[in-house]
Amino acid sequence: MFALFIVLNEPEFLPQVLYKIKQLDIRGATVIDSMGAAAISKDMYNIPLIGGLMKSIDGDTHYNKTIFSVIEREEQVQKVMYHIEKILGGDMKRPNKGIMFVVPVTHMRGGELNRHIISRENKKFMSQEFTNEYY
Amino acid sequence: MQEQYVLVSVINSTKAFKKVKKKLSEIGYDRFTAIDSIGSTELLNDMEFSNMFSNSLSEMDNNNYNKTLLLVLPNEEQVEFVMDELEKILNMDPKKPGKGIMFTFPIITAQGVRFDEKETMNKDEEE
Repeated sequence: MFALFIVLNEPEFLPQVLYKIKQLDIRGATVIDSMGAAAISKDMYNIPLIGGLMKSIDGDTHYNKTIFSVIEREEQVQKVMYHIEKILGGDMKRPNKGIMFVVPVTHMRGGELNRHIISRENKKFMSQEFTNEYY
Repeated sequence: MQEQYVLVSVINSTKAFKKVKKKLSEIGYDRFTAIDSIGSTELLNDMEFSNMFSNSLSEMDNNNYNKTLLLVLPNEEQVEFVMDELEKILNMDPKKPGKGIMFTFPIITAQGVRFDEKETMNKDEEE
């Protein structure tokens, strides 16, 4: 099992990305408002009064979105990453697109994915028992 | 070197988050990070809603935010223990999702993380 983290530098792609994740049968994702280090260290924001004003004028533009989701199999992870890269313009190596990374999950509890795995295992077990009885 | 883990727990209700906070401090983990987050389904529904009506209507309702908790744990036993405790507190039922989700991933090293001294002392005594 894996956890995919996606940092989107262009939050306008968020609905498309979430919709794609849903389409690819990934059960749920969590979204966090985040900020790139470059945006935080903008020198102008450190000037008293004016910095605050500039920050409020800029609004939410310097914010980006971080999405994370637990995915069961590696091929699913590859598929999701491929499709997200396509949505973001096809090449994430270009700057200011965002980053994606995957970490291996050792333990997992709760959530729709867990329910899905348990019900699948139950079905498998039931069908096995059924075939055993039949033969 | 012993493998450490990061526990990521998304808690869907703020009330439950308070309970979790209390429980964690009881079991000696009172240092963790909490982030405001939002579920993808909620967000997608919200977006559809704001397309249909005005944007401000959906912004008025902030109840759909949930909390994400990040906690570093020293070993696998503690992972199982903390997860069991949280599962009990959140009344998690595998058949009825929606209370939240938690998962862990291994980390190579961590600095600035202090584990409860009592626990490590007890372990030393046992050994």
